[in-house]
Amino acid sequence: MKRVAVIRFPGSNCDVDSLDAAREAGSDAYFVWHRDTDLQQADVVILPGGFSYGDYLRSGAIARFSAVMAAVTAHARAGGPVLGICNGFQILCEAGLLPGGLMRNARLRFLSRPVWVRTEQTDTPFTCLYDKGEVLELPIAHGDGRYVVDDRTAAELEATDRVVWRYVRDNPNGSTNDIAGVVNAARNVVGVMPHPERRLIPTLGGQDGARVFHSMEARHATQHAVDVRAGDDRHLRV
Amino acid sequence: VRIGKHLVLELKAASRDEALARARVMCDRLLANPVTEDYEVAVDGEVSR
Repeated sequence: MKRVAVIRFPGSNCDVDSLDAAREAGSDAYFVWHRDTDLQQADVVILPGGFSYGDYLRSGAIARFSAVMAAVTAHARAGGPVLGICNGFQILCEAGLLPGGLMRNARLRFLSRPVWVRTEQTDTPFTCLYDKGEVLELPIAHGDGRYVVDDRTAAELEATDRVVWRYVRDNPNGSTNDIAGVVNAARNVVGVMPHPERRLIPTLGGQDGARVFHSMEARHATQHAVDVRAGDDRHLRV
Repeated sequence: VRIGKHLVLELKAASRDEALARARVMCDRLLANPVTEDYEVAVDGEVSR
C-alpha cells in the first residue's frame, strides 16, 4: 500500500476526488496543507487541479513558492513519483520540475468538456496499467491549457518518448504537438491537463481515469513482489 | 498584435543599477516566466519619498 500525499492549496479543486481515487485504488491517501513542510513519508505526491491563489499573475506561479513545494521538489529530485493534474501540471512547470509552460487556450475560452487522449507511454508510475495507444475519454476544465515549449525542447520530448498523453480527434487548446501530458527525463514526474480523477466510475461518465491511480499501486506491488513471495508465498495484487 | 503585462514596481534603491538588478531578479523568479515570456525593465521615476 502506497502512502499518497494530496497537496491542498487555497483554490485547489478535485482534491477530494483525487484522494478518493487513490483510496479506491488501495492507497493510504491523506491531505497535506500547502503550509506544511512534511510530506509524512509519502511514496507518491499528487498536486490536484483548481485555481491556486486565484491564478493571479500566472496559473501556478504563486503556488510554486508555497512552503510545501520545497518538500515536493526534494521528493521529485529523489525519484519519488509526482502527479500534477491541471493546475498541478501548471505548478510543476512553474516550479521547473517539468519543461514548458501552460498558456491561455487558443481562442481564449475557458473549456469544460470531455476530450480524447491517446496514451503514448506506459512506463511511468501513473500509466503502467494502460495499453500503449489506448484512447481515453477524460474531462478538461481549464482556461490556461495550451502547452508551450520551444522547438528544441519539443523535439527532445518526442525523441525521448516523454509525451505521455496526446489529444486525438481534436486539439482543444492549441497545445504544441497536441500534448496533453508529459513526463520529466527521470520519468517520475508526470503532468496532465485533463482530469483522470473525474472518471472513476460509470455513473460519473466513465472509468477511463481510474487506472492512473491503480498504476501507482501496481508498480509498487511489482517492485516488492519478490520479497513478498519469499516471505509467505502469496502474490500481491498486481 | 502584441499582448503583455505592464507592471509598476516601487522600490527604494541606492542607485539606478541596483534598482534594475533587483527588478530583474524579481522578474526571473516570479514576475515573468522566462519559459514562455520575455520581459524588459526600465527605471523611470527617479524618486518618490
